[in-house]
Amino acid sequence: MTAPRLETERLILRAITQADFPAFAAMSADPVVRRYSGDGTPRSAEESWSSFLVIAGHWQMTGYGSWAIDEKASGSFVGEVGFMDRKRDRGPDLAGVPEMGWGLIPQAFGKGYATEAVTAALAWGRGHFGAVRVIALTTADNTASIRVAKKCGFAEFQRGLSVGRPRVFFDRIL
Amino acid sequence: MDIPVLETERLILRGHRREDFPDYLAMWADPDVTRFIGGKPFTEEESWARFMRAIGHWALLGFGFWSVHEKDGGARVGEAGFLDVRRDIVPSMHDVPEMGWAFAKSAQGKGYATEAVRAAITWGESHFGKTRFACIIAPENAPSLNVAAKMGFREAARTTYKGEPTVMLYREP
Repeated sequence: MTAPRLETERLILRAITQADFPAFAAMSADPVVRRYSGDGTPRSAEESWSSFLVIAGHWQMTGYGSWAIDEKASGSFVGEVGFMDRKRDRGPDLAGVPEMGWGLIPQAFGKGYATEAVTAALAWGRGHFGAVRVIALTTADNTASIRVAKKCGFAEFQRGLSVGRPRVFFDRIL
Repeated sequence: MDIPVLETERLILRGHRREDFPDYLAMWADPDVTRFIGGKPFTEEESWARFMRAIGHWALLGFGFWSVHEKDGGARVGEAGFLDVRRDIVPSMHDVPEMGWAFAKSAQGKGYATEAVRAAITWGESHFGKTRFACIIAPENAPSLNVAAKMGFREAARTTYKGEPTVMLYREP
């Protein structure tokens, strides 16, 4: 299966297609976007392509995953949002707990788009998973993302390392 | 998309399914399998990403890797197929369909790789048309170089990938 289409006031959430790859790769190579994600470094085209294929495969293998976000006004790709199970070794408490993630291109910052997209994804998630726990991680200095997490009902429950960097762990029940 | 199912004398090649993951994980955690591919056993996170990539590849590009199973009993013995992973490599493999294969240790020495790769090539010749195929193999991976030679691949270049020496081979149509 692929991502179902979701619509908000200003955004469309939809399945990625191969045509999104240039915009996705540009986002993943942007140091401003990457500062707070993964190991903090911009991704090469090869690494981005690998992540892109994972997004496509995640829906097929698990029935959930990530959406491409389009801005309705311009019709262009502005970011991604979704649920992932990375099977990352985070200890028994977090095994199998879906992790939410979101990211926007810099031109889409500061408009409330992340909150709008995360809210729509959470509503879909409630229908899909039921009232289960989900987590979200970011670095402690990513104030914009922390604000989004809190506005969307997430609360901090621990601090720890992920991919070698200190993170704030948030969770909520869907 | 519906991933085609290929059948050989002893094997079935089909798309990966969620329930294949335990066998997939076990194969890629085996140092004998990763010795020439990746260099060290894959963690569960790495294998899971690779597994999802394999299925996402078909969805986005219409070609990819098959999970290879024995007809008799259905045991997963390995994988083979086509890939485009946009490798950062010279010479560029852009626009040249790349082939790859890997088999569990227990399945080695039975001619399974040759049998599966031959079926994949037949499918590839009809899917891609009359075109060159490429593959990269570690220079010390004699069993895979042997499979490649039997399938008509010839050495085209010696290069490096992710800092490791590798042989690039082409198979002309």
